[in-house]
Amino acid sequence: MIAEILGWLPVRSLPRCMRVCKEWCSLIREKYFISVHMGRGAPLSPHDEDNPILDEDWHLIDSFSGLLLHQDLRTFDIHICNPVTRQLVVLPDPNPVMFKLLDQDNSTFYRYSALNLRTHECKLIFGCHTLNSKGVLKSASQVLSVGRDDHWRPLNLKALFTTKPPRIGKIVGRYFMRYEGDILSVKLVRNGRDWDMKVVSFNIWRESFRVYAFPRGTFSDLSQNTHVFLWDNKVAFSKIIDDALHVMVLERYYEAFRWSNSIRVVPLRFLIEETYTKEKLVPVRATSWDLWFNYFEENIEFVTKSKWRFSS
Amino acid sequence: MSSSSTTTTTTRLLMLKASDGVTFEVEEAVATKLGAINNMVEEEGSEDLICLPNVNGKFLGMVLEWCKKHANNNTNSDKGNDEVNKWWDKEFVMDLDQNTLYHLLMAADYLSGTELVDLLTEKVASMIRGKKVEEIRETFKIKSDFLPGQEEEIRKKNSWAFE
Repeated sequence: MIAEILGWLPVRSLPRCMRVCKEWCSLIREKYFISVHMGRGAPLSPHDEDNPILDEDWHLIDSFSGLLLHQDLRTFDIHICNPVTRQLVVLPDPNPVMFKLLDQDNSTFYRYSALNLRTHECKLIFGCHTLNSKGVLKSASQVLSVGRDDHWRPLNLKALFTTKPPRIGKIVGRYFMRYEGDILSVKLVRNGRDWDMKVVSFNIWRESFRVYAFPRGTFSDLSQNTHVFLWDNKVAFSKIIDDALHVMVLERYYEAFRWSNSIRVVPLRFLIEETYTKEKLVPVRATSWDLWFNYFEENIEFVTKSKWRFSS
Repeated sequence: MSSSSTTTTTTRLLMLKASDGVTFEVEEAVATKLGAINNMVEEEGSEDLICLPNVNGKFLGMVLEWCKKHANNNTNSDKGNDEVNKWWDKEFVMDLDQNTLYHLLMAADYLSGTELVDLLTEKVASMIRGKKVEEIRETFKIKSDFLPGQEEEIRKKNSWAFE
């Protein structure tokens, strides 16, 4: 009951409550309490006078793991701010020269911010890429390891954004995803009548690439009704065959990934009860409990009766 | 309260008996706002008299008053009603003294009235908000059991919150 009560308090009040007695102190540190508190989700109030989030002179660039990345519009300094403790870290300026060679009007800009809760390492990546008139990809990016690097270091992320197919063939589908410290680029490739899928991952902490080939022969034909989506934040590759969704996921395997050992078959009962055009039924995301589809303009939620997971 | 209803045949009435023998006759739709009673009705089905040996009549009455309000307003759910409920809830907890609040919370928890527990715990939390450590201890009659220096250590580790 104490957890239920203290769970209503803002984060700033909690350290005070920890000093009340030993019981409250240990309770506030428990996982159960943290889940209660996060479930209540008392957000920082924009009306809180000294709330640093809504300062007009700051432009919010990104937020990650409870931290804010923003730019001071007067000095152009970039900061990382913890809105709860109000601690501020000023970062070195990114190198503008790196982007100069690119046609900025037609460029795609991206940034990745990550905090490793285990090692407390914090990294930022700024970058952009563009296609030149010959259709060749030009890209530039830089990385900063906060607190370790004095300057932004150049980083080559071409392998993620390249429009060239892995060998021969044509890229017919591309997806970008973020999974914890990894950036994943998924490519669906067609070579004549042959289909293939390649996943390239870039690990932010190790700054290294890995390639995962989709096990050949898993699905007889990848040309129709195949979709990529996130399943509990894992890359999932699916195909609707008859009245069921067949899924493979790219799951964590030690520090890297691997394709799940088996195909999971999810019977879609609603396909039997009602008529759907299967080609238009697109899985968009899934958890252990439910699956979401897009169907023309509609969203369909399919709730599974019992909890189920991929066995690894 | 009068005996069985003659106007409608669909509304079932339940008798709830508190620890001190006080009984309440309430519509099923009202009583089943409480998870514990909902379970009993679903499991046992036929029993119309439910004994609640852990709740005193005064507090059971208050819990049921809350249920009645929320059961009525849930039947036609529009946004205006939501506002009305919020106002009603606010009034309901406004002048509760600490002793009543405590017993009401225990009753609501025992009867699994989740929404009411939320309302009451939030009220208790509002009594902690903005108070100094000493004041919190005084309000809830808690004795510090820290060894000398331990409390200071927690303060130091979280100095951002005490500025």
